[in-house]
Amino acid sequence: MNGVHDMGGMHGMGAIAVDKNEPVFHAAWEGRAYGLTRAMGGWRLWNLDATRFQRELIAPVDYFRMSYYERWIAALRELMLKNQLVTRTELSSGRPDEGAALRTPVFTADKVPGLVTKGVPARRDVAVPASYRIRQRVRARNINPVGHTRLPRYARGKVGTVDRDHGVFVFPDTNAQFLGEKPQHVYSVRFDARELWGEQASRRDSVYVDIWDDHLEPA
Amino acid sequence: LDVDRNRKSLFRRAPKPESLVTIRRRFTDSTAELRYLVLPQRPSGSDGWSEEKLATLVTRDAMIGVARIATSSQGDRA
Repeated sequence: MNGVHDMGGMHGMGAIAVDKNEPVFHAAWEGRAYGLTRAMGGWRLWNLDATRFQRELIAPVDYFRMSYYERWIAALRELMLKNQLVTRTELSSGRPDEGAALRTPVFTADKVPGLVTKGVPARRDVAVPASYRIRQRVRARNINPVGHTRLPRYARGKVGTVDRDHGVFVFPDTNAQFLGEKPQHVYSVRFDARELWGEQASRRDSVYVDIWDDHLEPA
Repeated sequence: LDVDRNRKSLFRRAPKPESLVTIRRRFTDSTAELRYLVLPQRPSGSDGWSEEKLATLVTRDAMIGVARIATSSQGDRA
């Protein structure tokens, strides 16, 4: 969706605040937000791309006001409500509703180190033909889907060159809507900075964007 | 700074005074599930240093490619 999360090229956001010696978590609650999100993901009722889309659905005024992990918690609440893992009364009371069924999580403490260090790979070991080859000129499609997409707005309709083929990965656009993983090649596509930003940009600069096969067309 | 093997030519030329070096900036937007680290250029004056001692020079900014690393005698040239 063309939301405020897709900020590439936007002005007026102020200087980037550089956090020297930035800690992993700024406060204990951020670690809990991370832990809760990973633990609830263990129910396998949604996936990474659906989680990202849920964060994109936060209303713009709230999105800008919230910190990074506040967005995580806001999205997790919605996902848990949608999937009947919690009710609105439970969220406000902090206790199980009377007669709520007890469910035993499949994601247990012994699985934490593996999940945190290895993550959940999105690479797929399947043979899928690549539609484009290295050095081929390609155009990023001009798409404006209302659902989730990883194709940034600033690249749409722009012409670049395939720099490398990263291999086969899950396609977030369909996966976020539970329409299948549709594994396909992801390429690093090089764009001249001037193709994206016009004459204000340096002739020498370039931007590399990771783009899925379905988001490209021959140029 | 450019560390891609295919584009070494930029650094293969004879060394130039710092002010005359042509800088090409490569911006990598990590829009997929791939994350990038930059292997920092080894600073001059670090010959014979152990791996452990070299590791103490590496900074976050050097590993995201927005700063060079320097031995402490050279100061921070970022």
